[in-house]
Amino acid sequence: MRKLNLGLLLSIPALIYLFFWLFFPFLYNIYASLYYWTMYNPNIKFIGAGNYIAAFADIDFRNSVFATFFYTVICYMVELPLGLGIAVFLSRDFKGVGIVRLLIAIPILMMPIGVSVMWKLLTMPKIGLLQYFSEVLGFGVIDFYGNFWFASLLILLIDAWQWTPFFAIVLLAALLSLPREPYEAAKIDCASSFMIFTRITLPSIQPVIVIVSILRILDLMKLSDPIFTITMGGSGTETLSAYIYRVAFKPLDIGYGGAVAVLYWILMYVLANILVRRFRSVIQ
Amino acid sequence: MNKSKFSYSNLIYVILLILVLVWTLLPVYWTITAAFKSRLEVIAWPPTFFPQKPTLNWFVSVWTDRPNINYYINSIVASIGSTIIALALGIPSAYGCARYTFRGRQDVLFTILTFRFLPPATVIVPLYLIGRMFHLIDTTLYLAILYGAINVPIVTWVLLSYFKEIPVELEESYQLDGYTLFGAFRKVTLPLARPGIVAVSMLIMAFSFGDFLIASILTTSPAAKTLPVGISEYMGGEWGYMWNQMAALTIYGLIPLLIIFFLVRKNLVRGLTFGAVK
Repeated sequence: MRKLNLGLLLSIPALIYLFFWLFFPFLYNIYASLYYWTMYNPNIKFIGAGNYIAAFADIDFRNSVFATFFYTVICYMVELPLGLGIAVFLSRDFKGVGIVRLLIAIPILMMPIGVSVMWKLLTMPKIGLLQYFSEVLGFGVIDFYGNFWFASLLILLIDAWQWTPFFAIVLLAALLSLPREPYEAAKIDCASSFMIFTRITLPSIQPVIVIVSILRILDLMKLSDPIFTITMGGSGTETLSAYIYRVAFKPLDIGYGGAVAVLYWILMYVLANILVRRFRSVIQ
Repeated sequence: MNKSKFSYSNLIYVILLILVLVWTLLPVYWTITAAFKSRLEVIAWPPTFFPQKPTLNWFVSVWTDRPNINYYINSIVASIGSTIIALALGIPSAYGCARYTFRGRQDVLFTILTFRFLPPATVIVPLYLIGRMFHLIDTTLYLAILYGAINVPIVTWVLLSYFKEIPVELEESYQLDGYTLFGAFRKVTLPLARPGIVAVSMLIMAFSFGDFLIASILTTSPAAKTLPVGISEYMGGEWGYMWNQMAALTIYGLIPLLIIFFLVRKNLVRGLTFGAVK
């Protein structure tokens, strides 16, 4: 009996702490979202669903939902195959492979804001190295900062640069831990390397792919740093996190910010639930 | 017979490898050279691939022309503080869930995990108001408290996987020798789980060093601002973008993480995947 309770008892401090600092603010948002309530206006007024209606009516909000999903999808679609490719690459044995495996981890360790700034330096017109390459190749100046598609391409480049190594490192570890026997058997059967990859390698690392995908997708849904540095949310690149920052924090609009936060949270909750259900079956 | 074909595929392999390395290291190289170039050279057209007159000026001046040293110290304090908080809360819950079965154990674990998926942007306004109420705004303590909370899930999940691997019998044999449960835990289990603890500590530190959104809202003075906020202060003021200083600060921010990364690299993957990949 005593044994039964100790486990839960040990988790209670963590739960209380999380509820106080992260869940309570969320409840506060729900309450605030029902009011017309800004920091510098003393007249707080109950308006029911008014803030929610205003959010849905705001084209910037709808746009930021689109941008959030758009970046999540394109970044994930680029990072996973690229990371898997690099992992397969580095799972081979050659001289100096150890140092290469270490070097590719560097992007993950850099401060995201520093990374965005350096990519800005690489891509500013008439300054950046990439613009120089583009000019030499005859493409002229690329409008990374005024055009939605090119700005999105730049955001994709930045995110892929920093986070493809995440896929690469984890999938590499998964590949290196695979047992040798199935491969030897396949070799005896003269299976092609493509067959070996799709029939043996992929299925055996599938659980790992699922886990890193979930973690990465849910992180991508919070994307904000490159948006702040690269476009300041212009050209339709504003994500939900950046949108909240602009409409809620800058004018300290507690009510409206609360409503957007609630909608954002519902979105994440639904998505996480769908994904974590996969996680649960894979992890156990 | 196959020899020539073999070396042909090797050539492709080497080319692709070089491409991967160039792609990964070029921005890093560009950051380093930007920190060594002069103010005019960094924006010169065409760009120079090697600094013409390398200078250490920026590495020194970032410490003197702005309170960056304070920001750096704040980043370190916030990361150490948040690591302590997250470990103090996460280790007991991981241990409790690894060693004991109780009703709702799965729910506890997944409740903790869901907090990892909560976007910080959604709670930032209430946290600002709560911080004002408790006079926590513009303190590194507040950053440590919040970074700690955000990182509890990773500690719980990674250490859960470590604790599950350590046999209960080992602890029980120590308890038979007269150790208390806590004594046995400290003597056996904790040292065995140390690689995991070190790995998550590094990830928490990387988070605390990297966070811009929370720090930029909750800090307003050199007493609490962190390095990412310091970098953003070199952006678009009356002097325009001060690339050299931003590059130097980015490198300064990378160095401690690089050192720790080198020490924990073997356990990093387990940390990155919440203990799901060994």
